[in-house]
Parts: sequence; C-alpha cells; structure tokens
Amino acid sequence: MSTDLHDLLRSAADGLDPEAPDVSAMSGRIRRRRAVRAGATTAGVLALAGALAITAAELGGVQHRDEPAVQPSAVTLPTAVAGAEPGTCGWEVGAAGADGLAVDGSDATYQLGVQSARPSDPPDTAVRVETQLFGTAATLPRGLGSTYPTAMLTRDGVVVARAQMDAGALGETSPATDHGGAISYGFPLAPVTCGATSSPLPDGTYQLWAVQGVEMGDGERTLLLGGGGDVHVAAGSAATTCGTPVGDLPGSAPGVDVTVHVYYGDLPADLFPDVTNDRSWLAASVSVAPDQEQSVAGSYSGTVYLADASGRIVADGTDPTLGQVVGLYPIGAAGGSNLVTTPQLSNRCDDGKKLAPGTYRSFVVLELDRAGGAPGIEHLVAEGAPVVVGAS
Amino acid sequence: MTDWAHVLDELVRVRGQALVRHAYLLTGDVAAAEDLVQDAIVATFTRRSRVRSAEAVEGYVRRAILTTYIDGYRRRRRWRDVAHLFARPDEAHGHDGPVDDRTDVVAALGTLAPRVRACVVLRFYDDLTVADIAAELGLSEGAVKRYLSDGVRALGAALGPVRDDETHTVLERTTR
Repeated sequence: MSTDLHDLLRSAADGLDPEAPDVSAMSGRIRRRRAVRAGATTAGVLALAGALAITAAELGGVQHRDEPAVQPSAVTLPTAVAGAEPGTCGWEVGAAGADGLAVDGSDATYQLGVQSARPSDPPDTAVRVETQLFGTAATLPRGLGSTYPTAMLTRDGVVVARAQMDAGALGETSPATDHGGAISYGFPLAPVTCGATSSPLPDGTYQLWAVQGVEMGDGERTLLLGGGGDVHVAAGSAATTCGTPVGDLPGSAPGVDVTVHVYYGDLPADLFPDVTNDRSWLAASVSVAPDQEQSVAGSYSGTVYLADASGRIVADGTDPTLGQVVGLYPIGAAGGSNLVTTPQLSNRCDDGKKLAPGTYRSFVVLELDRAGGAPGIEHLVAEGAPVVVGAS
Repeated sequence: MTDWAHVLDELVRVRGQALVRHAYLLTGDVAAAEDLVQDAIVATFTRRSRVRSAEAVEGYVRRAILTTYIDGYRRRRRWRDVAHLFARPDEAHGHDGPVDDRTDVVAALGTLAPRVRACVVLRFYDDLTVADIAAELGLSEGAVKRYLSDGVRALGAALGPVRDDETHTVLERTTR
C-alpha cells in the first residue's frame, strides 16, 4: 500500500509544537536596522575612537540582497549530469570523475583559495576570479605539477556556468613548475549558462568554486577543490555591493570574537611594508582572540566598506575606472592573530572620485576558507571606528 | 507601539508556529527552522517601509523563508546540502510497512536538493499548484514538474512507495 505524500508531510509538521518566534528579540533587530536605513546612529554600535567588536546580530544573517523577485522563466539552468567530469557543466560539486580521480577539498596538504572580484566597468560583466594554491603547512615544493584551474558558478551544488584559465593569455603552453610560495591565477568567468545554450544567468545568488589538478612528488594526481563563496548576479552581470545597504553585508560566523582597525589615507609601514603612500588607501587589520587563532587557520581575503549617513555603501575597493584589487592570503598552520586586508583604493565606488568630506561608518568583511574544514566560505565581520574624510 | 510592531505582534501570535512548521520541513531541524523564520521576519519588516497587516505580510515572509533557505542558509549547511549529492542511488532501501515516523520523513526530505525540497513542501504541504510554485520560486512550470518528479522518486526510494496523488486537486489555497 502506498503512502500519501500529502498526509506524510502534514503528519510530520503538524504534530510539532514549536516555540513561537521571539517578538522582543526580533523587534530590537528590526528597530536597529530600520534606524540604519533611516541614517540614524545607534548608541552602543559606534565608538568615537578605537576599534570595537560587533556581534553577528548587528549585521547580516540573511544572505540574499534584494526583495525576493519573480524571475522570468525564459532561462533554464543546467541540471545535474550523472557521471559528469569534475568542473564540467552539470557536475555535482565534489563528485568523483568517471576515471576515478578523487576530488579533494580537505586541505590536507594543499589548499585552493578562490575569490571573486566585481567587474570594473560595463560592458565588463564577468566575475573576476582569483585562485591561489597554497601549501597548508609548508611552502610548495619545486617541480610540483599542476593544471590550470577551472572556475564554476553553481546552484544547489550543480555547475551552471564555468570557465577555465586560458593558458594562451599567459603565453604559456603548460603551467610552470617552479612556483615558489603559491600558484596564482586571475581570469574572467562570464555569468552565462554552460551547456548547449548560452544565456545570461537569472538574477540571484550562486556559489563560486574552482578545481585545479596537482601531481604530487610520488606521481599521485589529485584534483583540488576550493571556494564556495557567494556571487550575486543581477541583470546579467556580477553584482556590485556599491550603493547597497550595509544591512546586506553577510553576518559574522558565530563563536569567533573579531576586532578591526580601519586605516584611511596613509598606511602604517609595519603592517603594509610594500605600499607606497602616494595615494589615499583604505585597509584594515583584523584580530581574533588568542585562544581562537587555530580555529581561523586557512586562507582569507578581506574587504573594507564605508557607508554614508543613509547606510549605503559608498566605498568597497572598486573604482569603476580601475576595477578592484583583490588578495588571497594564507594563514599558517599556527594560526594568526593579526591579519591585514589588501590595500584598497579609497575612492567612491560609483564614480571613482574622492570621497566627499564627512564621517563614514566602516565595516570589515573577511572571507575565510578554513583549512581542513568543510569546503565553503565563512565570514568574519566587524564594524570599525568611523572614518573621517577631511577637505582636500 | 508603532504600526509595524503591532503587525509583527499579530503575525507571530497568529501565524508564528505555522511558519516554523513550514520551515521545519525545509530545514529538518526545529532550532534551525526557528532561526530561519526569525531571520526572514526581520528581513521582511526591515525592507518594507509599510506593513499593512499580518495577512498581507505573511506572503512576503514565506517568500523570504524560501529564498533564504534555497540560497544557502548558513555556511555550514551548504556543505551538507551538497554532500547529499554524493549518495549513490543503490543506497536507498525499501520499506515494507507504513511510514509514520516523523524522523524518517524529515530524514528523507533532507536527502533532497534545496530547490527540490522546496517544491515538494510547497506542493504537498502548502497545497500550491505547479503554476503557483513556479511563481514563488521563479522557475518555469516545466522545471517545477521535473523537480517534483525527482523529489517524489527520491522519497519513494527512501520511504517506500508513495502516492503523489496526481488526482489531488487544490480547490483553494489554504493557509496553514
């Protein structure tokens, strides 16, 4: 005798007696976020000087950016293909290839860091992908064989868009084997469906992954898997954070206490020894509690955001005329208590001009790929002291 | 008390538990469902400058629950959602007797990809039509039918023969 699905689900859910949502807790969160949107400041969040920590309850938590919108049904995303080779259209992330080549996302020996940057300026709509292959506990051995990375956008764990690093663009016929500290590549990934037809991806959130093959010294080949961070697509283009509300920034991972110090203008040489202060920079140092250093070992990249009085992001390291500087940093096996972000251009993200004089709220978002953890990206987020931009 | 606070209070008092039950079928975990509903309510009330009534805003909250869940609610859950794709079809085993254990049903739902799971819940718990589901999730009706077919087949493999009741007619959308 078959069982009615309708009755099964009703029986499973209706028998529950859950607690009703906490109205007072929600009211507080709503009130604070509405105040941000209205441009007001809230006591206990801003500090006049010094760094301060902010809990996940203050920021983010809900990953989507816009009102849920009904999308036109014209574009059909590629669906899962049984037995698809890793990195190809329809591949289910993590599944082994038909030849049995294992897909390794464990970061046991090597970690593949993956980051996305926003496009610099229309008509460039592609996701700018940065990959870096680190040694988890030691530097990369000379002579390590590798393939060029393939980047993918996925939905529900299925590849719907993809691009492979173009060797010809580097003038190479095969990857070099004398890599030094890391193997790094940057290349575009167009937000269009892979497979038989090529259409702009529907608006929404996708995950960015990459695979890259390595051959160990003993001849054993492995396909490394990295990434998992969100990429937002809107109107056929990788979406920018410029102009969006700070409430749309991701929430901070629980259980990690984060403090940040934001720098605007000149950067201290002891933290940023390679930067010449010939322009105005935006960067941050990020600290976690000493007893939490091991928990954040892995690779990371950070972005500093400035928001104006209306609570909208006006600086995010993107200059529409120059693009965005991105950086992936390894955190050693011993962890790290003082991380720094890649120095960013401090100009307005909408037109590249200097920020108007005034006071801006600052936020730091660290994208963290924990070594040895489950594949995927977590965020460490904190608000810094207000940034004061003076008249030039 | 402000207008939105009145509406929030009424929404939670009248529909709070129903929303959590709906979210429970998506998340498979009561605590996760409670958090998902709270985040969806906060996001809806933050984004909408005017909220007229609990009845009017509930649709937006349900949409926010779905979108948040499908887009990858909580980083750690994404890996578990992807990990189920590793399951081999021949791992499913049959059941000879009737299924009346909530744990079995929730576990079986947990093997479905998020969008498939959402389609199954909207169809067989919320009694939405295929067209309504397509509109809710921004999919084509063909995609919804495909997801439902995949979901019913997978649930059947896990729970034993299930009747998806093609004759089950939704006469009117009932609010649960």
